[in-house]
Amino acid sequence: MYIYRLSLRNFRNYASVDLELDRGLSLFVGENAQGKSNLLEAIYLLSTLRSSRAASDADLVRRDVLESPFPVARLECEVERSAGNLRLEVAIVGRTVDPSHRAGKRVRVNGIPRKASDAVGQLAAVLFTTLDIGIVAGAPLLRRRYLDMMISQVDRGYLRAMQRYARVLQQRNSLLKRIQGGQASATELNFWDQELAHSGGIIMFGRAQALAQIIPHAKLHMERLSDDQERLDLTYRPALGGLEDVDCPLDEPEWIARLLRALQRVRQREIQQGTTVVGPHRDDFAVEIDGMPADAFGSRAQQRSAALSLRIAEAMYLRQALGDDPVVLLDDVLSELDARRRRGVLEILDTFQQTIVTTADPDRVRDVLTRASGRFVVIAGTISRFEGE
Amino acid sequence: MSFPAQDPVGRLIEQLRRLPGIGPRSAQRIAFHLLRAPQPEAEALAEAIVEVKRRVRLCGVCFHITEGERCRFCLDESRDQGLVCVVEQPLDVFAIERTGYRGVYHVLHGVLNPLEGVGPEQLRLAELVERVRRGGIREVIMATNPSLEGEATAMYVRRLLEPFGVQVTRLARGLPAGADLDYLDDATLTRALEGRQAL
Repeated sequence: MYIYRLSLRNFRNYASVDLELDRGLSLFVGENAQGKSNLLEAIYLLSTLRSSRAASDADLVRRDVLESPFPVARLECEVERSAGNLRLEVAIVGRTVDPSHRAGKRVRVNGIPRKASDAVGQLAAVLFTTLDIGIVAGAPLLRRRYLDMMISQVDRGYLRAMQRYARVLQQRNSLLKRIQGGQASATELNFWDQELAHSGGIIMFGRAQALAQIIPHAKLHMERLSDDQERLDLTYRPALGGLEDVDCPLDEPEWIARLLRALQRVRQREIQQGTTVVGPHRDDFAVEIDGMPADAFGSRAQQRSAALSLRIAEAMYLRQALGDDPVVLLDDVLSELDARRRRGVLEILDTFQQTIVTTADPDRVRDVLTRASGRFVVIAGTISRFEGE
Repeated sequence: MSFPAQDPVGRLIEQLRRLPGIGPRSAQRIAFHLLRAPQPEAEALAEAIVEVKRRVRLCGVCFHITEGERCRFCLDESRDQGLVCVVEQPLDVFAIERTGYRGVYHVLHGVLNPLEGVGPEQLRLAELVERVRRGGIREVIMATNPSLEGEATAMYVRRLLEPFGVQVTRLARGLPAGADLDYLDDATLTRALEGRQAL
């Protein structure tokens, strides 16, 4: 798929932008803090209905209008897809002026109002940023988020299970605290155990499957991108309180049953601690380079190659699952690669219908400049086309 | 603008603000509306409030609101006393009544909600078990809302009533009448698909 029209109103530092985009590579050049990342954030938000970096919706609305009677940011795009063309509109209300309105997001898909969660993945996208190294070397939360953002773009059931899981977990944790304090009895846990195991099992099954699919891609691209054909290994580490070492469950019902058994095993410990200690909210996957943990033993360059390989694998996964190309977004990642790796990445991305690249340093990426089918310059929240050098 | 709490107007605003769904602005608006209203109108409201607190209580059998010992549904012998519909709150009774349902009710006055500190002992659950234990009840319909907490409560009740061999049923989940498939959210449509029935 590819985006052929994009409009932003009062989003971040953009007052008003209307862009026509092409297939192929679009390059956005600009100094720091002019709005390059905001542009990619807008596209990624249209895909995931979640900001990749803002803490609250109010942060997304342009400051000048946040105190006005209409503190609203609007994002709109038109997309050509193999599954039929798409018009996606998102309005973000940053602050409530009139109490009869709610702050939050309103979403329309082809003109029809939708719940935000139902619009996730209508536009499929992969975002590469310089922070991706955190997937390899950072906290487990970042690896869970990597999987969740990827899977929920293509699997509705997974997204719903995540939402339900979050609510069940909250209720179950407060029940555990009440049991710990003697205000409730352990028999009340039964329903919450069932529910937690059900949505948790769906999530774990989804993660195991997605990892199995991305592993071959990640391995292949790590070999190509690294200097010495380094080997990348990814191993799912589900939080099952010791039961993960038994042979791996194969289907969804088995994962659900396994998690339920884990919950029963750790029940006393959970009551003592007053919190849920097994389940996908504690999951992780191990990243190893040449058989050694990547966070402790990998060099910075190795970690960067591994992170890049994981993002490329994500793009391949989405392509496979959708039967259509996701839009590929690269936020200033090319300038930190040497020419050989950059060429390697660009060759893969050339096979995707649309790639949108930002850079602060066009001289370092002249090879990208010559490949670009559309070139834009970003200055203080305005975007204009430029030709030639 | 704020009023001192000991001032009569301030006191009224404070009292109104405690009501569900009333914010500070609405409380002020209602207070000034009452201030301008004719004396009998304001007094009628005050009397209605006092009256409702003095005369209305909960039915000794089903805990629906009533003026007597028992509510009119429990007293009505033409209704099926062996069919009990379990609801979260008295308002739900009025909703079910609109369908022409001819059984009786049991009002829980809430649902299980650990986050809000609501456990089984805060609900009229022991009373429901007692009703079933005494016999004469054939079927219990769980009509709690299809929320996570409503589901939790329904499942909990099913377990509680297991030893008594009574049939426990659950309201179906699916499409709202008059809905347009294209406009429905995915969760509703998925549930309707899961709960499909043979024609």
